[in-house]
Amino acid sequence: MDFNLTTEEQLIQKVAKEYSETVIAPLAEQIHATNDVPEEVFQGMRELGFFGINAPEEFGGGGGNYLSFLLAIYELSKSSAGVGMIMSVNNFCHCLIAALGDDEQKATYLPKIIAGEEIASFAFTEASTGSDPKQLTCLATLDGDDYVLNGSKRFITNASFPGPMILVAKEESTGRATAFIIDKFAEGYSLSEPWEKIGVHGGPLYDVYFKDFRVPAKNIMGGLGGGMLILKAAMVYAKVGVCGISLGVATAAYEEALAFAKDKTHRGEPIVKKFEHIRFTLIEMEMKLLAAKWAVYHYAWSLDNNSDLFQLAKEAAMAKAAVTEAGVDIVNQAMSIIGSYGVVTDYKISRLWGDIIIGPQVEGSASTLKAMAASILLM
Amino acid sequence: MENVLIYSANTGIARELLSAGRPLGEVWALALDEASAEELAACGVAVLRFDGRGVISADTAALAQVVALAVAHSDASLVLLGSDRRGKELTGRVAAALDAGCLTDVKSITQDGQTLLCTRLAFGGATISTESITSPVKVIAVSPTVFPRAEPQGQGVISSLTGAVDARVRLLSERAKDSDLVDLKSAEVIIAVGEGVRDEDFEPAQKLAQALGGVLACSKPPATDRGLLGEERVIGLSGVICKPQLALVIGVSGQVQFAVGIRDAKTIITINTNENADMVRMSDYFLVKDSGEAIAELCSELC
Amino acid sequence: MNYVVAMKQVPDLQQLRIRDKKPVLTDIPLEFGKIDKNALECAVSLKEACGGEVIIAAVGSGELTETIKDGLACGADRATMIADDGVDALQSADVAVLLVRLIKELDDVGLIFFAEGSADNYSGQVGSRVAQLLGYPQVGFACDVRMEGDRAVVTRALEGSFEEVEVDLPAVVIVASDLNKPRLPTVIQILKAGKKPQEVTDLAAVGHEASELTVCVENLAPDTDRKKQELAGSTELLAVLKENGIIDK
Repeated sequence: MDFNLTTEEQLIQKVAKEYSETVIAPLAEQIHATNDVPEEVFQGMRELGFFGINAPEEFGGGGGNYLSFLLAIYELSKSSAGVGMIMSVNNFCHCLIAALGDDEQKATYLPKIIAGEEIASFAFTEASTGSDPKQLTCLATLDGDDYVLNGSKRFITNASFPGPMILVAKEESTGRATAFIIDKFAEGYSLSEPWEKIGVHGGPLYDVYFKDFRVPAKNIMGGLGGGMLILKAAMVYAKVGVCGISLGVATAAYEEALAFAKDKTHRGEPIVKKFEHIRFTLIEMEMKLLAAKWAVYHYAWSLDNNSDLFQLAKEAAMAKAAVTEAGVDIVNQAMSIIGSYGVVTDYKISRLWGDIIIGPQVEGSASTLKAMAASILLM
Repeated sequence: MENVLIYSANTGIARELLSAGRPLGEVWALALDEASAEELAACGVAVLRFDGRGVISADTAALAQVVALAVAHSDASLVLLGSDRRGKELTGRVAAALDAGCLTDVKSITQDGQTLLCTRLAFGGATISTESITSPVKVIAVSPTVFPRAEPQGQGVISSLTGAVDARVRLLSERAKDSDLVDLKSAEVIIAVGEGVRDEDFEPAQKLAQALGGVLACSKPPATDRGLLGEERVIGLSGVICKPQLALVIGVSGQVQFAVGIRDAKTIITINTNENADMVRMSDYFLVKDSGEAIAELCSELC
Repeated sequence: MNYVVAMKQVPDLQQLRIRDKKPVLTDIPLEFGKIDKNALECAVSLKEACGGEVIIAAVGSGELTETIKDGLACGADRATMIADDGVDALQSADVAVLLVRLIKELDDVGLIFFAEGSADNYSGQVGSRVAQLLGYPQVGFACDVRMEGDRAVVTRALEGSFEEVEVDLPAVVIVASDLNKPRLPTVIQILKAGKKPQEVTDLAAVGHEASELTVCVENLAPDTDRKKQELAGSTELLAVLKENGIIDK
């Protein structure tokens, strides 16, 4: 078993790290304050091919593996979880369309989102359900060759960027969840103001409203009533990005705590040397990072090497729950080392704390995912 | 005793090489123009004055040919060059021409029996390497200011050196760098400022430097990233290696890229808000204080 | 007209540790130094403007066949290498001889680029040695390079001045750090790098004998026995300045 990264994976990680440190990090505070990622960041990401690392070469992607994508999103997220989030959702959307779209859908929608010229969204969540397709209220009604959509979605990432959106709505005739690829900002599409989150600024969430929004029937992905499959696949592809973001934020927090412990002194001696409990805490954090890292790396490996969607979904759910929960623990421990300085916004750790706390609650809350994984336990 | 040939296009450096070479053997100095020949002869060394035309110091290939001629003429087994940019570039070429081993950026030369032990920095300044050349002919490029300049004494004989040398480059133009003639290498007192010093405190720092009779210098970021001082004031690996009597280092963390340029100072005083900065560990005295406050206080006393 | 860039793989010095004053290099990944990347960027920019190919010439341990991908990802067209663990025991003079052998096999070489020094040793001799062995003119500390037909115009940055020099091709150009800003390779370039042509040979095939012109007696981290005395305030600092004769008492 070779635990080494390939040269290509190392080089991709290096480029992402360099980009993250030299371009994104200096803008991180601004991104956090304005809840907005400047265009120059996107432009650089496009030029370097970050939006399509593991997308098919046929459509302009790099043709790389999931691990390469993970390494890149990890590095970028160390500087800004908001940038990571935008990249993560766009990524799993191109994975979904590449895997489950028909030829026309692939040709129409993949090139631009792989290039990053457009940014994709995925809309399932509604006001009263984040995980249960039977409770969907957003309705798709057949009218000639089109479906007409009415309803709203909640907490949608990238909703304000032009591009395709994979929307899961209740199809009227079957009463079953069905996935449609729609063009955002076509007539009938509107947005709320962005939600004020406690962290992951730069990746804002919106409510999206559909009023007599028309989408051609040929834009159904995964077949009429095939929403469940799309959701399962989304589970499989989406969690790797979220894991990468959490790992990045948690690692950044560890580095902050370590630097602080080396700098801060107690009666002339750095606290990392003076107090064993500080070193213990740092080692415990490192232990959690180590476990989380290999869990995520394996999940990425599984995506490239295995194909049973149910087992992949179980691994995805477990990895995401484990990594986001570990991330919260790690950042909390970092806080405990940094102490009172950690709660003032001058210090980076306060931003990281806001970023990490969101991890277990979104993209499938930890409880939901554990329930999902548990349901597959006996399969 | 071996015969030693010294050469630098810069006569100041050549006179340092003369000091370096005298304990090692009989020295011959190569000069390419009349003025240099006379300056060196006035220091009491035998001078070989190359008479060929059209050899310019921008032409490393041609210079190497001239040095080879001089080595043959003087039967030298040791060639000392300066490790300034011209000299350092020349070293490898001369060594290849003479089938010799060479060492550059040499910081010290110690005789150990028949061996010449030379020290130089390695691994980006993290270590000091002690090496010696084992080939019969040796080429050593010595860092400027390591040896003192030889003073005028007696009168050396100037002989003529001739030979056919091909010019390999043409000089189109030259211009001086935009600088206010900052000479960090020979400064006795240096005030070095770093990332911990705010923009508005650079002018007071300059005043402080003047009041102390010293030169204002900096780590790389204030010059390259912030554009507050010229690149000629940068200390360290990508700048100047200094050896002042006193270095007052303000708001510099002291990473190795900077540290290698200042650590040979006789006395180092550091002002930093972080008592655990690497710079503090390298200092004789340190004051934990905000850089702006410290500069203001010192200025109010001295300026 | 083709451009050759000589590159050296070196340990990532950020990961260098010192233990008992000795440098510890085990398990440190190898990479190309920053100034090598400056040299490569210069050659690639010229190729993009004037045509031709950029060929990397390199001599290193077995890992070189992987390290080379970084250069191929940054715009080089192909590479010619001696990749052999025995290279670690060789010295600069040997490396120069081996590079000359690789370069002599290449056609239509106009400029050969070197960094002013490698990141690990920085002795800056290989470029000049190669130029002498090939009998080519050289221009060092280049901060600007322009092609003008069968000549190159190179600006050298010296300590206090700039020299603009014209040289006939073929020539060796040794670049200064800060010459340019090396581009970051794109993901696609990285993933395609391994497919670019690599000619690889080993020491046995070239039949080289090591020369050993220098010997290293020791290589240790320096002592730092400074006083590290804390001053209470500016007044004490002034006292130290007075003691050291910097200001009048």
